[in-house]
Amino acid sequence: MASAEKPNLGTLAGGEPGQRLAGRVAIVSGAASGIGAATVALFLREGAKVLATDIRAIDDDKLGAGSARAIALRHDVASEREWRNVLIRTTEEYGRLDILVNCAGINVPGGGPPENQDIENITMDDYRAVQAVNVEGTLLGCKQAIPVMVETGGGAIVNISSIAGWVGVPGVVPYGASKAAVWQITKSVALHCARAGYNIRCNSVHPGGIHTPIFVPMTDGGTDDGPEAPHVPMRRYGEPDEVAAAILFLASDDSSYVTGASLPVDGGLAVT
Amino acid sequence: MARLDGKVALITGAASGIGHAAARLFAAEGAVVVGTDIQFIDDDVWRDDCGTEALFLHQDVTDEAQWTAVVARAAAHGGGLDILLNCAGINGAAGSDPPPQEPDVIGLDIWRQVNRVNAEGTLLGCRAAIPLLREGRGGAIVNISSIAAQKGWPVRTAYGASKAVVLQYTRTVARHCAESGWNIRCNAVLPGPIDTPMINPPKGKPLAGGDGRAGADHVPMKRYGDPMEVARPMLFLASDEASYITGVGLNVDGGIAALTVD
Repeated sequence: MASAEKPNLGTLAGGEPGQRLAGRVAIVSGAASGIGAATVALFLREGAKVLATDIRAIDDDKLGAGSARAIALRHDVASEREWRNVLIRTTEEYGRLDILVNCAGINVPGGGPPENQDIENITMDDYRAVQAVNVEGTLLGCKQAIPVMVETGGGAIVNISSIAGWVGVPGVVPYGASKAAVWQITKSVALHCARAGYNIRCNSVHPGGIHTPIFVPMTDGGTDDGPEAPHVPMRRYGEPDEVAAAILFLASDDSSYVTGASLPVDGGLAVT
Repeated sequence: MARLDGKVALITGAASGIGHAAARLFAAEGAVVVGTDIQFIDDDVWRDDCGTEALFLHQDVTDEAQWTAVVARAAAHGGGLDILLNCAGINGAAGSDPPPQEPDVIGLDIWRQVNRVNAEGTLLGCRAAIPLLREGRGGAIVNISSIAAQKGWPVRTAYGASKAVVLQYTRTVARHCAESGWNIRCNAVLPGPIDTPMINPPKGKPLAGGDGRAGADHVPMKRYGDPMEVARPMLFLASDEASYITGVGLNVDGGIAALTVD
């Protein structure tokens, strides 16, 4: 069987392995850690040029293979002016934008444990701080990226929502509300772009429990595999790389007829 | 290294449409493909499309005994089984004079025929494959539901119901396998209008009328999908890239889902 003839890969697949994003230019926000950092690493391995942005400093050593094709930028996603600057830098450096991944997100202002985030204790300052990053940051990214993508023929936007945008999360009301808004915005952006004939797709990824810095404080105990995830059908939490793979799918031509869709990456949590 | 190197994939409905596209793509990505269909496909065409390693078997997916034989032959041919794609399906509208499906006139014959192929065929496939998928390094099942599972579609009453069964059943299989610790994932794709023989019969009626075949005006992307555009999401879900994804129904519909309450 080893000598058996195989059909030609290049004519069918969305690109040779390791080159699925060759020639593409991507912005990934929230790139300093967690899902954003894993996405940058995967995109670089697949041949993309990446603008990795975060409000925190990004450790160049963490960019990994292909880091010569990456630019790290300090970026507050809640600022429309800063989004404009990121887009200007993108076109100056690369002349185009093909992919936007809105990964920047917080669950509590300033991080830390999610105390007093239930409906009786939430303060409006905290609520608004979470919406500013998760919702307005995503909204502004889409708004500013669309005209740039249109100029060079279109592109793909992937927003990070959450299973927490679907189900009740009484301990983190601001976060759940923000992720529901991201999901909803995604669908409106998808329909807007499709109806305008922009050739821009927009989809959302909905992680369940993933081993990231943002997730750790949300759990009552540890995040080790096994008994700590008894409510997840797969009986484990996910890894950032497993979400990045789904983001790559939605950012690549493999999903050319997928827009306005929501993709859970949750070990089966949503079916329970 | 291709994305399905070393995998053995059993694909029903492989003679045409989405199943055929998936067979070509999965073979191109390194899988040993065992395709089945109730229709026949020319041997030379099959080998040209899917490589000389690929096997084609005649199969009626509604026949329980045939499923037992098919999974055994597939596993013997490939040395195990890693992937099952349940692509075989009908919409009950083939032929020159298909029976009506509107709820006030639908007959039980067409209801049962469509549900036997789409719902029971998928159920039997999962049931037959799970023991073999358990034996390997872990497996993946991808079923084909439809946007019709999420929307009312009076001219395809039986079809929509059968695809809703597939979606719900997919979730149950996913949960059962995961909670049993079997390392078998099960997901569904929900295609919108795809340019396949099912909705675009090359020898059937002309593309006209208010039955969803007239055009793509209702699709936000304003076009039909190509079968390969469904095969690629199936590749993603079947591959190790989707290792933390199970029980998902992924819309592949040019944006129709964004207009759908579900």
